[in-house]
Amino acid sequence: MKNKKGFTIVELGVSICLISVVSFLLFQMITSIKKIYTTGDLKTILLTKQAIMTKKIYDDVENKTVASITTCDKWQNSCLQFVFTDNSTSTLLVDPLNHIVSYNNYAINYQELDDTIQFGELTLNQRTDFFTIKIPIASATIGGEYGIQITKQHTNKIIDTYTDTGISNQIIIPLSNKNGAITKTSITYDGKDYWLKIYDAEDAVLNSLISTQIKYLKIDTCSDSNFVGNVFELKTGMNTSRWCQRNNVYTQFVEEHQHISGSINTALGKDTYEVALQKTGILKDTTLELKVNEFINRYTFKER
Amino acid sequence: MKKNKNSGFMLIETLLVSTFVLGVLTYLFLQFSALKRSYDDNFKYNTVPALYGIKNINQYIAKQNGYAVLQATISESGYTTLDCTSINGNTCTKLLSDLNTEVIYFVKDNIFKNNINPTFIVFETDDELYYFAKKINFGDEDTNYHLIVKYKDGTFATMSITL
Repeated sequence: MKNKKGFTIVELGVSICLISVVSFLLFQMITSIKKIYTTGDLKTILLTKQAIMTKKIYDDVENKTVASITTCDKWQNSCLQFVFTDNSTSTLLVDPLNHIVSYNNYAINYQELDDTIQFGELTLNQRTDFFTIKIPIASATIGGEYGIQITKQHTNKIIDTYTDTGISNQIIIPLSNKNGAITKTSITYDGKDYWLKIYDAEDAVLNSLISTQIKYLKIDTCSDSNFVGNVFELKTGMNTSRWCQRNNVYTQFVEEHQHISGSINTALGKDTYEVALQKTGILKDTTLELKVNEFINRYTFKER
Repeated sequence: MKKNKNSGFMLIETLLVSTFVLGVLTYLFLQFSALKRSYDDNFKYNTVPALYGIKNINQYIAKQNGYAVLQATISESGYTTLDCTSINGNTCTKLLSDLNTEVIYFVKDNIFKNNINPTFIVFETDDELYYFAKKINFGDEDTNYHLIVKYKDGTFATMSITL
């Protein structure tokens, strides 16, 4: 008699199919769990460090007023120094060779955490109304970005709109530019100085404004004998600089004063002026601010 | 006594076992998928840089009195996207560019929360945004709004606004 105790071919086929499906799914799950286990810790640590560093910098720039941010002398591409209006300073340092990022006394040694960490270049982007600092940091092991990004808007307090004040009798304010848009002007206080902000004014109007009326804003007289004009303190972005100006001649660099190339009518026109400033690397935006502390002493502004 | 000579599995036995095993596996797979998605989402939703980013956006809109503009442009579906041309375009564009944002929604809670389904126009082409929106705790009051920001690196952030 034939022995029929073994499996049939159909049973074997079904069993093998089932086991294959089960094995495949289990394998997928185990692989995922293993990945989560091995990368989870590192990911959490990197994100925690990122959060702590970000918070430390934000705490500083939000609780104090930043007066300037400059690159450090010896570490131009990897170090920034913050100077605050209370004269305190902070230093953000990126050491791409040793994979260390530090802010004052707090340092993160990424090499100890993950030897596949890669650093991008530290960048500072200074705009008129805000600045952005970026330190790209990526991990090849676990993927993803763990960099530091700080964006801080200047909290200049608007004292009053320019046209609403008594000084409108002294300085002609352009009300609209050639596109018909209202020219934005305002007086702001940054905790230290008062600034007249002129935003996107029409060239000709701005020319007229500056060449005829700016004399009221002078803070000094050019010390160089070649210059009979005035010195004006200007701010573009967060940078403050002093500029010498003289009618109808090219201005030159004078001691600590910067210069604008071109005659007064063209040099101080919006477009030419911007080009001149951009060449110096100072102007990052289309807003010009003039220090008007003298005006504040002579006129009363109402706080809003 | 008559012996059953067919000692293999019956078809019905095979089907029962297969169904049971596949059922268990499907259940495990769904549970695990949900767990994995939740784990991944932890690293995408409301991360520290994303939250500081949305804080900056909120600060900027408030400073420019932009919420009045946004409120006026909210659609019947309860949402609008932030358009820089209506809020001091120049600085706004640069700020959003520096913050690496992809899209910013301003939504009215009590209307928008009724539209959270995959076929809603906002989510039709963006599954990730749909999953994120599902996790937001929308308010019931007429004064409750939310800012929802999607960044280019795939992270999301949201902030409750009361106007």
